[in-house]
Amino acid sequence: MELTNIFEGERLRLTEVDPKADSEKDSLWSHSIEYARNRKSNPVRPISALESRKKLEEELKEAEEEGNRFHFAIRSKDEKKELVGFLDVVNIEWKNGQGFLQIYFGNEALCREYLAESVQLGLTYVFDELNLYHVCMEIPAYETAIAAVLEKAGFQHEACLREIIFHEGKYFDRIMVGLLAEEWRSQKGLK
Amino acid sequence: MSDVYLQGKTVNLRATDPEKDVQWFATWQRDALYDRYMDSLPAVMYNKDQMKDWYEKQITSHLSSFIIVRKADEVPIGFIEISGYDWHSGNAWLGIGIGERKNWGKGYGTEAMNLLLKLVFQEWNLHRVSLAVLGYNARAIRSYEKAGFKTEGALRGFIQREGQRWDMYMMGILRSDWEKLQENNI
Repeated sequence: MELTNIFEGERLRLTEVDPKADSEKDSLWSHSIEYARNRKSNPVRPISALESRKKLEEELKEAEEEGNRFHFAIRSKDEKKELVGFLDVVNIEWKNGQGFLQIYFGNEALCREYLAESVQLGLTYVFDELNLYHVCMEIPAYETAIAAVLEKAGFQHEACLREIIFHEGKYFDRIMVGLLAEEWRSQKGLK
Repeated sequence: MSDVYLQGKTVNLRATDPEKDVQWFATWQRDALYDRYMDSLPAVMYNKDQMKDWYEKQITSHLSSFIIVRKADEVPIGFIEISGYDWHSGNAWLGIGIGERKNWGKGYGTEAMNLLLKLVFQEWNLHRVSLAVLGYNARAIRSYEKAGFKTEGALRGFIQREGQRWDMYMMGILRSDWEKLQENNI
């Protein structure tokens, strides 16, 4: 059997996180409020390259030690290998085949451009490689465009945590969406 | 001691002391049913040292843990705890467990919950409290509803136990929900 390169999409590649190089961009991006909110640098604030590097290194160390999470940098497939965002699978419960998928992009334009493809790379990884049964994603209720992309990828609305987010002096809901492996496979016409 | 707070009709809450209270946790965990209602992760056995280490580590990572003490005989019957604070959005996560089956269904948990909700809404200024509960734990879900929590959704097939898939229910209570309940109770 010929195996597919699951890390490769049409225009994107899931690659290793390089804390030294990637922290520069992470820091730069964190000065835009939208990225800072999505990155959950709680509460929202700009972070320095040094702090970002430490955080990325810490994440990789924990992933190694605890074995319940995986971190990727999403890069363009062309020669520039440009970093466009991050993709994490976290809080994996192996016993239950359960995990959370998190995807962040440097800015809104990158998100519009690359979200759908990144979601497919993430889903292929969690279902075909990690053998998860169910995967969750969380989105602030005001991110309706992101919700639409996830719905198109097959995610179903599963929960709405009321007023759990606070920005600009107001509370917002957080939506949790989920997808089962069997739904994903039947959607792709696989058995 | 009129200034002592966290006192209910049938139960009181006091601070968890990892050194003194591990014996209770060690006893309660012996019933696999208790473990499997508590957590979606595999039920395990901890010895007293592991239990104490676990608690000491939790305390440093911002877990506020209370022991539920039955007033009649001053015996610890369970615990209640708050963790995962998000201070700027005013959210935190709640966990609760009543150790022995003979103490289940007596309203101890609901009363402990009321004491804690009053503390976190009136003193800590939280905006909401969240919890996740395993879909097969109908008794707990009823108790949370009684305390004012609303079911906000269910993560489908989140957990596998005894060959079946079960949902994880997400529940939450806003301070405004809680305040409305207090008005109605007066």
